[in-house]
Amino acid sequence: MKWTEYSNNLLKIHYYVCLMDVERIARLARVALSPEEISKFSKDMKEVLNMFRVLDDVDVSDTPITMHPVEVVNIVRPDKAGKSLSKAEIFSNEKNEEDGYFKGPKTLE
Amino acid sequence: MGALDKLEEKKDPEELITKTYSDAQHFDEKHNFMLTFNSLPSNYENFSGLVVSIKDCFTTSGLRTTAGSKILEDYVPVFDATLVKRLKASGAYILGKTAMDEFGFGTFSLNCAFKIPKNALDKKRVAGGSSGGAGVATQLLKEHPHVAIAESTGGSISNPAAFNGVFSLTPTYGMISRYGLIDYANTLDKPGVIASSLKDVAYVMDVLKGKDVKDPTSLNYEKSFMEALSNNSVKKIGVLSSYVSKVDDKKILSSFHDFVDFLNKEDYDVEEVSLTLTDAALASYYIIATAEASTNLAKYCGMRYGKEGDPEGKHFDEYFSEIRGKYFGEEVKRRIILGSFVRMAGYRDAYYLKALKVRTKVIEEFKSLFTKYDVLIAPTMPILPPKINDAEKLKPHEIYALDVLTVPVNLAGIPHINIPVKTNSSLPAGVHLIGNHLQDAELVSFGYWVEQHYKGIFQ
Repeated sequence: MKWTEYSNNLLKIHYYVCLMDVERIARLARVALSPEEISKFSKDMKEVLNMFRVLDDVDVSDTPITMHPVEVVNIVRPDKAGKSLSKAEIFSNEKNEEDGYFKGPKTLE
Repeated sequence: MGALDKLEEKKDPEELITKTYSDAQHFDEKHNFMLTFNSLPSNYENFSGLVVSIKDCFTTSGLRTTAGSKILEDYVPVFDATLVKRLKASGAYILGKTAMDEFGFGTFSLNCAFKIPKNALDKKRVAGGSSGGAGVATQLLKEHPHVAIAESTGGSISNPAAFNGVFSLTPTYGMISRYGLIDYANTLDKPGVIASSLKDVAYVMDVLKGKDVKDPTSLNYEKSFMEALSNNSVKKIGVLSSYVSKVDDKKILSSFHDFVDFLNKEDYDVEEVSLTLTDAALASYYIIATAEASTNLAKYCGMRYGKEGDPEGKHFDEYFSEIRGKYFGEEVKRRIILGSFVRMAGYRDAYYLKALKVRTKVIEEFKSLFTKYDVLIAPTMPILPPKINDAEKLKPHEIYALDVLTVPVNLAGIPHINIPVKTNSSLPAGVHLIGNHLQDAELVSFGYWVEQHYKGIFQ
């Protein structure tokens, strides 16, 4: 098998994996998707990942990663207690307050 | 004539604010650029007369803040973003919150959970994105003492400025505090200014710049933009030919070449230069931006603030998925999927880590040019503002590709200005002036010189 054929086959497998992945990723990312959305995003992913293939041609051996574009000196502020929000302010956007606590879904069966 | 010039006429702040407010309400009926209006002050003692609109991704105490998303439709912050606090302390009146693509995800402001803003110059055309409301507001309110605060992750300031024919500055990453910003991608987000003159931009930058203990990535910047404004020191200019070659629109190319001719006639040392990583920068940006966005958006889950449901008896997986599926828009879900994918075990090295390394190379390429040139120039956008109907037909990857000229400079975190220029149509084009990290004041000074001397500025 020629390298180009091999490479194209790999790409097809890769795309197939991507199509299958949308449902799994949505579950991991905790976003409920409709079957129509899964199908649509699968097609979109294929086209966008194709756009990303341009990165294959960039040689990054020995190139470090850049997290922040400008060098950041990590300065922390003095460890002094400041003014906090009041309890009323903290709960002002909460609909499910119960006895002064945030009420959420259960995490244990 | 900019906002500062109007303030210098020394009219009564109450008259300036109330007139701007009522005209903004009037224009908004047709152009949909405001999401929420502030109330008018009860007294005007502490106001300068300057009116500032704020993109809806910055928190404003007591004023609804949605980031253009249904999931934050009812969110009323209890604190001001640092930039809002600084503006208020300077005597500015906050007009309200401008429309935007949901969480900043868009090129046209068509990914809005609420009303779609319409271009200030032609209601059938897009406003630009993601700070569409800010661009429209600035053009429509140019006869008033108004400036707009916007935010750019991959071009969201320059794009609507170009599409609506106004000036803008996207400063060096870290120049303005991000505290109180509803973030899209932390290592890319940059608050900035859209205005009808770069003199206004200089004034507002002096108010906003500088270290904030609440944002560890914010920078100290001692230079005064206003003092530097009339000291243009630019001599050598590089024309980014690799960017020009991305543009097919003859109107944009013609107006850009007119601008280059003008610089040549004014005795600047102008040379063509090229960058090799333009398309790679676009890919790198969309990987990094969606990776960061997918983690940032995890906090919207139906608890503490934002839209909630009834969690009683539900498992957290089911409850969170349901709320997020119901209230996030289509583009948000698409970017969460993409951003989660590029971070997954097995793909992380090939996509996310590679993108971070390509980012290093993109910055190195720019830095190498700045050893020879003071400023680089290119068209801001490869197209004129399209009709809304046409833009709606584009596929996601086609829309992402239109960001190719704005994304690299954002990925590198270097400052850039949009200069609105005339074309041989009724629509404006934009020219990007691009500077090195922390050369923001020098860049604004050069831009202001252009604003004063170039006859092709879009009015």
